[in-house]
Amino acid sequence: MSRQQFEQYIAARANALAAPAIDWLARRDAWLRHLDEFYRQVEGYVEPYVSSRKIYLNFSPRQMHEEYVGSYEACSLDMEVGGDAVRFDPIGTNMIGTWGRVDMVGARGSVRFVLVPESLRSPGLKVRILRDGETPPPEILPEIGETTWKIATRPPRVVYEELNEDSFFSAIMEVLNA
Amino acid sequence: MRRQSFYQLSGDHLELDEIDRYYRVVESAIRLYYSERNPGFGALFQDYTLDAIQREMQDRLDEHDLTMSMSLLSALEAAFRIDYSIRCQRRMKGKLSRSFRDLHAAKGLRVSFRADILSVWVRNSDISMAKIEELRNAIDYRNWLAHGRYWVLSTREKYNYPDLYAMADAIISGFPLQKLI
Repeated sequence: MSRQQFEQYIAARANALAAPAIDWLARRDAWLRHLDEFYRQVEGYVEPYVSSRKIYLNFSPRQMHEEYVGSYEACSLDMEVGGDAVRFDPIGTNMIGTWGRVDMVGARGSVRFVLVPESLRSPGLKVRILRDGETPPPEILPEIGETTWKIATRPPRVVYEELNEDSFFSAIMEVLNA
Repeated sequence: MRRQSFYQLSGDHLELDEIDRYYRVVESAIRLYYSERNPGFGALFQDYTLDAIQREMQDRLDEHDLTMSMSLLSALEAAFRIDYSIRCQRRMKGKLSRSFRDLHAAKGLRVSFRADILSVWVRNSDISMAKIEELRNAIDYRNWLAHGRYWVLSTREKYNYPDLYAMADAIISGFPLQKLI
């Protein structure tokens, strides 16, 4: 019994060691670059309103700590829209099923912006049981560089929608419930 | 006396869409309670500032998120345990089901979802280790919730109800799990 457990443990460890290691520093740096791009995209959408002083933006540092990634600093964004506040907080890069997430929070709710592979339309997964004699396939980790920002819709039908000017303003209206 | 070999399946487990319906009903109720559409709003919040009302509402919504996250992750574990139980009891064919029967012969009712059942899936399917680790970390989060959240959990902030729902839905739909009919 204990030998069988030991063998299961050894097999699981061997699998884990055979998996390609993640370079967490490179992952953090790529995540921060994507975060900068996200904010530039947002600034581009609201620029006409910022110029006409209908929207005010204020960036502030946010201390982050993530398992494996460690401690680092990122930026939050406070947006004032006609007297109402909307805040964008980066949550991290070591997330469930995504390469990064920013939460936009307003008085009436929140919206999640996620960093996912361009081709990914939903968090779908397809698992196949191996046949006799077949061995598990090698682990392939997608690169963070191949990802793009999308909007994750709310449950129960979670899909990743393209982030563009229209979807961005719809998201703002949702959290302001205007 | 013969040792109990399997738990009798109750059929009382929740499906994800039932959990989500409940989530949305309670979320709407909390938002209504803290809004001026609540007929008792004036009496309830006469000494509050608007900021204080917002903060209290957000606290209640955050608590709702936590408790429903635990429901989601419990439902996810139930789906895997039901599959394990059906594969063993019906003596289904294939290496996955055979491995589960070996596991059952070794451990009986003391089988662990995180350590045992998921390890059998890793060895007998094409699921990636990265996905399994993601799931194991989520189970650690569930344990943190279930045991009263009294210790500091460094991964806490990465979890919320919508992301966990997306993960649970992808897993339950994507794994060829046996279900109670």
